[in-house]
Amino acid sequence: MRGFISAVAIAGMLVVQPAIAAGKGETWPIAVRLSTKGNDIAFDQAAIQVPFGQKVQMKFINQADKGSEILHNVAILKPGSLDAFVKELQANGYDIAKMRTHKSVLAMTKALEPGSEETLEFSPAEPGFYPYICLMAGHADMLGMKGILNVKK
Amino acid sequence: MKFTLSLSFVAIGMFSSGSASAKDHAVSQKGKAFAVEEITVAAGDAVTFKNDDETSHNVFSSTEGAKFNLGIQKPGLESSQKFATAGTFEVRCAIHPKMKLKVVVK
Repeated sequence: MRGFISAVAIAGMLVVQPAIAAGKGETWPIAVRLSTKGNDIAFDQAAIQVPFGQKVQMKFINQADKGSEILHNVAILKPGSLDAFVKELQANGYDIAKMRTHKSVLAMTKALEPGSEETLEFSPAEPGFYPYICLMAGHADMLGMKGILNVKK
Repeated sequence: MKFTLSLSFVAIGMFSSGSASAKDHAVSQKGKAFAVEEITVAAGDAVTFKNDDETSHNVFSSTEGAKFNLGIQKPGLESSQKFATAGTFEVRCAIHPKMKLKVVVK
């Protein structure tokens, strides 16, 4: 057995427990699942907690109905960068391609069609609150499609 | 007393004339697009967004001075938004990223 990860949902927040019994010299990634709330322009988790010091593997699923045509993505931002990032996002006309290389982006999916998914892997450099948002026009800034990844020491 | 009454009448007159001159401009949404790319209105006018499409829309603007969100609008429904201040505002659909409308308020 290389290790296992358990996740507990508490009042809308996903708490992911540390990996146990990773192999010698291995860092077992913490697996996190985030999706949209059906056809609502919202994430299904307002907050996710993971332990500091391990790679995070986040699977993001756009669960909107295939006929809905609602695109979504998710970007993990560095702590404290949300407001300035959103202003730049608006100033750039919600152009995801332009924002992909932004200094505040830790990891980011492409715009996903309904029913599709993408898995991100990233390593938070320090403990803290990492905002995650959807970059599609209006989703984060006007409709509140955002949450917090709490990387806890 | 007379002075107070006179002021009141003036205030009511101004309010009435402002309301009477405000117009409502209709903008249809069809084929996942706004019927026009740009519309010019006067400050105080309203724009009514009608969903003539077969899919839902969600009209909003995040431009400073005219931030609003009309929410999910199912086919056949319409919603109105007043534009109170002068400026140029970008209106979009949260479901269809290519839908854009420029509202110029003078």
